[in-house]
Amino acid sequence: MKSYYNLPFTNKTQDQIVFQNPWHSQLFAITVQMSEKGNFSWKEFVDVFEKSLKKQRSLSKNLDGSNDYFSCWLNALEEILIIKKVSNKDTLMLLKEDWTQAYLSTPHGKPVNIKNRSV
Amino acid sequence: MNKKKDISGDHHHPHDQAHSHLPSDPELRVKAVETLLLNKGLIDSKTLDELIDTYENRIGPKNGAKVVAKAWVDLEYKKRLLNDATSAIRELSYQGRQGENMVVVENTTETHNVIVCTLCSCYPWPVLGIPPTWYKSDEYRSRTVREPRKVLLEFGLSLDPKVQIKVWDSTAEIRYLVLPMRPKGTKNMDERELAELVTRNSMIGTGLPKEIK
Repeated sequence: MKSYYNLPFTNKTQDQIVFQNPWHSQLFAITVQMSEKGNFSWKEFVDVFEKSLKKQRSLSKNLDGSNDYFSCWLNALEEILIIKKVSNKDTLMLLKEDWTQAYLSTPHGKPVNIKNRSV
Repeated sequence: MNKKKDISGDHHHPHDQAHSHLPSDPELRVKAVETLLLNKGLIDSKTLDELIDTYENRIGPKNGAKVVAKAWVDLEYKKRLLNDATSAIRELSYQGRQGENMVVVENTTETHNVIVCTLCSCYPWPVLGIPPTWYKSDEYRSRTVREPRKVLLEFGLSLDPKVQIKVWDSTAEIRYLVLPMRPKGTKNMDERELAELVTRNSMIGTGLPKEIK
C-alpha cells in the first residue's frame, strides 16, 4: 500500500500531536470547564462555533485545522461569553491590553503578571 | 501532567533583552479570557490542568481499540455494540463528554465507513480522544463528502471499486465510530494483542487495522 503522507491533511509529524500549541489546549480546557459548570451547553457552543468557522471560511482560504481552527474556536468562546453576559467586548479588550502592556514592560526572564482589574 | 508551557516560546533578543517576548494575538486573548474567568471564579486552574492532562495523556484511541478488539472476539458484545453503542462502550467504562450518543458502524467486505464532521469537528472523545489536525481541516471536511474514494487513496487506502463507501456526518448529538474488519491471520490472538492492531484511522475509516506480517 503506497503512503501519501505528504498531502495537506496527512502530515505524519503533526498527526500524533494532540494540541499543536499550548494556547489551543488552554482554550479547549477553558471551554469544556465553562460548559460543564453549566454556563452554556456544548450544543450552544457548537452552534456559535459553526458560525465562526463559516464566517472565517468566507473571508479566507480553507482552514488548515490548526491555528486558524482554534482562532475560530476562540472567536466563538468570546462570543458565547458575551451572549451569556459573562463579559463584554470592552472588558475582554482591556484585559488583552493589560497583558500586552505587562509583556512589554516586564524585563526578559521575569514572570509576567497583570495587576488586578475589576472584571 | 500538564506542564504550563511558556507560550511565549523560544525567543532571542539580539539587542538589549529589554522586555519579555510579546505573545501572538490569540495567545493574549486566551490569557484575557482565562484571567476574566479565574477572577470571576467560573473556572479553576487545577481543573484546567486536569482536563489538558486527560486529553493529552490518558484518553485517546487506545480506548477505542479495546472496544474494537472486544467486539472481534465476543460476538454477543459486538451485537450489543452495534445495537446500542453508548451502553456497550460504557461497559468498558468509557463514557462522558462527547460520547453521550454513540453509533458504531461496521465495515464489511461490501461496505467501508468513513466518519467526518462537516460542520465543525464533532468526534467521539471517550474512545478516540481529541481529533487530529487533518480531521479539523476544511479540506478533509469538505472533500470526504464529495470524493471519499479519492481522499481515502490519499491516506494510502485503496479500496476495491466494488466496495461501497458510506460517509457518516458526526454532529453535536451523535458521534460515530467505525468497527473495522478483523485482519486475516489473527485467529490465535487474544483481545489485548488484537487491540494493538487497531489504529486510530481505522476507527475513523481513513485507514485499516495493522496487518500481521
